[in-house]
Amino acid sequence: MTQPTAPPGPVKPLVITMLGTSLSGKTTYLLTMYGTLSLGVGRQSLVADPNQDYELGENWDRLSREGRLPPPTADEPHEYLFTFTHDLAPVAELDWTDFRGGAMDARVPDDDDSADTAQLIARLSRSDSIYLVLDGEHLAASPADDSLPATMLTRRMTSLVRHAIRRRQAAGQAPPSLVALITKADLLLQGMWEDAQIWRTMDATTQRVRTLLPVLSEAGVRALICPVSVGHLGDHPGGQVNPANINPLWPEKPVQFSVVAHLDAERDRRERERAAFGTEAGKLTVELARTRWLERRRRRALQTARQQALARQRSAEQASQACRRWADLLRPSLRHTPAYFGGEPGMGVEHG
Amino acid sequence: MRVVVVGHRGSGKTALVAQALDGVRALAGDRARMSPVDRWRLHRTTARLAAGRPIGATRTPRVASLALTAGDQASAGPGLSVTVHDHPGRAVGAGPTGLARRLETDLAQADGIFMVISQEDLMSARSRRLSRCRSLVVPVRRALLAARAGPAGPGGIQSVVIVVTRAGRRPAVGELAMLATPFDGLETSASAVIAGATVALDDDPAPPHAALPLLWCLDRWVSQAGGAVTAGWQATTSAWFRAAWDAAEDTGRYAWLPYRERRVP
Repeated sequence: MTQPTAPPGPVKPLVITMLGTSLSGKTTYLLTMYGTLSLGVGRQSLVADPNQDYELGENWDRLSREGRLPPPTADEPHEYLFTFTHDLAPVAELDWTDFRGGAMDARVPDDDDSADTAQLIARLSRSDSIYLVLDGEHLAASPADDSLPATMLTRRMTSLVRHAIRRRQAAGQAPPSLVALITKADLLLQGMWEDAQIWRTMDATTQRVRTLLPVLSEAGVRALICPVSVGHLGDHPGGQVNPANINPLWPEKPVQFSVVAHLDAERDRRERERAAFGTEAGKLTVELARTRWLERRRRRALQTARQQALARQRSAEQASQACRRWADLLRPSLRHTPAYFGGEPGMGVEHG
Repeated sequence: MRVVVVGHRGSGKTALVAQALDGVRALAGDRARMSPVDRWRLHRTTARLAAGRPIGATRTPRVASLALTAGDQASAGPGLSVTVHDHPGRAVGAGPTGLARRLETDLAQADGIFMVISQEDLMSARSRRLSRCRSLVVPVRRALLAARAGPAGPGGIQSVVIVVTRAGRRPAVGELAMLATPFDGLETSASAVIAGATVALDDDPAPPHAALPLLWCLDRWVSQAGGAVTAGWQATTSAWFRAAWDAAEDTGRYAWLPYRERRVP
């Protein structure tokens, strides 16, 4: 398949926000994802500005070469702007903010610690993709424990995401895509060597996650349940791991999914726009036909409005087609991942 | 033509630049001109290399220029100017320093890029290997993106050569491909639009194919430039390139060319 020749048009930046408890692995995932994708995975890569690359690259080096896990995120959220590229073409801008784990669990405005909580909640409504970070260590330790929702704050996550979906719907926007990010997935699969056993465990984990986070199956929601891991790290006293064991698993998949889901949502929006402009142009054509030849000024105004509507219709159509082409180009990289659309397997469109 | 050399400290950039310029001068004969200062620097470096003495670290960015004149071949038209920008290893993976910024600026304006990495780095532990490669790939990819998004549209950088230095012995084609695996992502994504090659250089003080990366870039640049550069130069640079490629035998691993221009070099 060849690269789309036309640029995808004005695709707005993809806002990504991660929700997760303290020490669930949000920052470690961010580092691993950036470290892997900045080197390049197949034809795709992530590009940051030199200063952000330096900061993230230093931390990734500390982890991958010295085995030092990143410290918990400070009170102030860290903001990053990445460009997701395919071949050498920019596909989408990623606006990514790393909040501290506690930000999700404070009351607004009662708690003293709630400054970033208000920021996080406001940002969720603007988010095109939300990562619900689930600590694989908890999932592995208690395979059938009722205390999991309390430990991983999945009810709080569900409530915050539903609130964000409602606010977006009120503003006429599509729901954000959701990624249930199962970090430390190596712990889930510890001691398993047979493929059948691994797949059984992953299937069971996927079902548990869908039960824990019912919002993943809501109508119109594009969701992915994705296990990720930095490597077989085992216990890490004092945040120190053996760098020889670092071997990332699927760090790029969530980002690829978010980009494809964003392009799909953008394509839907552009399709609606195209239809609306088409209807408007049709109405103007009828009205023009009804207007008498002598009403020259009115006819000219109608003709101008009709031409503008047709131009906007064409522009929306081009943008929609470009989004479709990009998404179809990227979609194959998501094969074999548990993606859902409105609770049904798949992404709501056929593979391109 | 502007070539920018990027690599870690001690990877052999300065030696590569000297050997490459020396190789082109040998091919071009009287048609190659250098300033006295550049000639003196080149002589000093090649003499040190021949004597097996260290050449010392480059502390500030250096530019070496080579003017290629048409000579008695009138069909070659006007002369060509080749500048090679040798950046200190400290500029790679550095914070927001002046050196790093200068490297970024130079990369964005390059016609060709040499990514220099020692075989020792490519054979080190996985994490170190990927880290070393990542810090080279990131600024180059950023430059490639910037060049394509520039006001002049797609253009700018036409070739990237990954030069594996300090290859203890001539690696076989498959070995070199395996060594250069960390660059696969860059190669796969860039090969749709630009050309590249991976070349191994051993410890020989004057390897016969040392000029191959520079001639690769020159040949690509001449064939893309058009306009003032006449067909005469295309024939000349292609002949030089082929001579160097033949000398390289299997040490010049392979060429990755834009899809639309696939051809055997």
